[in-house]
Amino acid sequence: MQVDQERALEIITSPAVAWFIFGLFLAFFGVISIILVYHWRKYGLNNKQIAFAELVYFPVSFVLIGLSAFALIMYLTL
Amino acid sequence: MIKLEKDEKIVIEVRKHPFVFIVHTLVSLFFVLAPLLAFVLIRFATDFTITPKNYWLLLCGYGLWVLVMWVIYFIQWTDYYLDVWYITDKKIYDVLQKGFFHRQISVLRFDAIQDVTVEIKGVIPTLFDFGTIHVQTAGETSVDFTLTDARSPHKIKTVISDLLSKAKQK
Repeated sequence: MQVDQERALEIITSPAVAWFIFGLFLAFFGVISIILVYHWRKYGLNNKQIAFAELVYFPVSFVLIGLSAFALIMYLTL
Repeated sequence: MIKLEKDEKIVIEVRKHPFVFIVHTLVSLFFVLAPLLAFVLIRFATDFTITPKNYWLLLCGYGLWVLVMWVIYFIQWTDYYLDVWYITDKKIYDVLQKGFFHRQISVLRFDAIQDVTVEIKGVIPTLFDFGTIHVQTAGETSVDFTLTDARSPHKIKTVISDLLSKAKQK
């Protein structure tokens, strides 16, 4: 019974497919981040809150990306 | 981007009250927590088991989900933050940000202002001090300025009235 469930949950078996999907998320993040930074720098008038937003946005994003990448590596190596 | 004259100074920036954005924050928080709640419910309400390997896949998926929510949250914040009135000692700049690729800037000189009205409607706006500021212009063809859910509208009205008096004295 447990073996069936394990098989049923193994959605992604190919590392190439897994990394491709991960790459799509990274591309989404990259494109939106470029647009956001463009708006912040061009229209933000060097505001302190804009600087703070940038300071919070990127570290948290990189932590989430790192965590997801680590989890994916663990999934593919186990 | 607005271009100020050489001797022009920004007196105050007027934005919507943060309460408006708190609603966005709560919605985002719900979408971040919803998968976790669903997982806990499924885990404890059924005899469903997950192998350690699949926990990693779920963690990866959840991390990416939170990343998407995080990015969307900042898109909304940018939309909120760049929708602003810059009141200078000479003019009012109304910057309207609608999404990433629609930005409209209208400029109003103080000598064109006829009247400033403030409307605070409802319990929450009264408690948190936000409402609509309406700046009427004198000419028939000119466009009136309206900012809804503005923070401290009476204070803004006073600032505009003072600047208007100074402009008339000149």
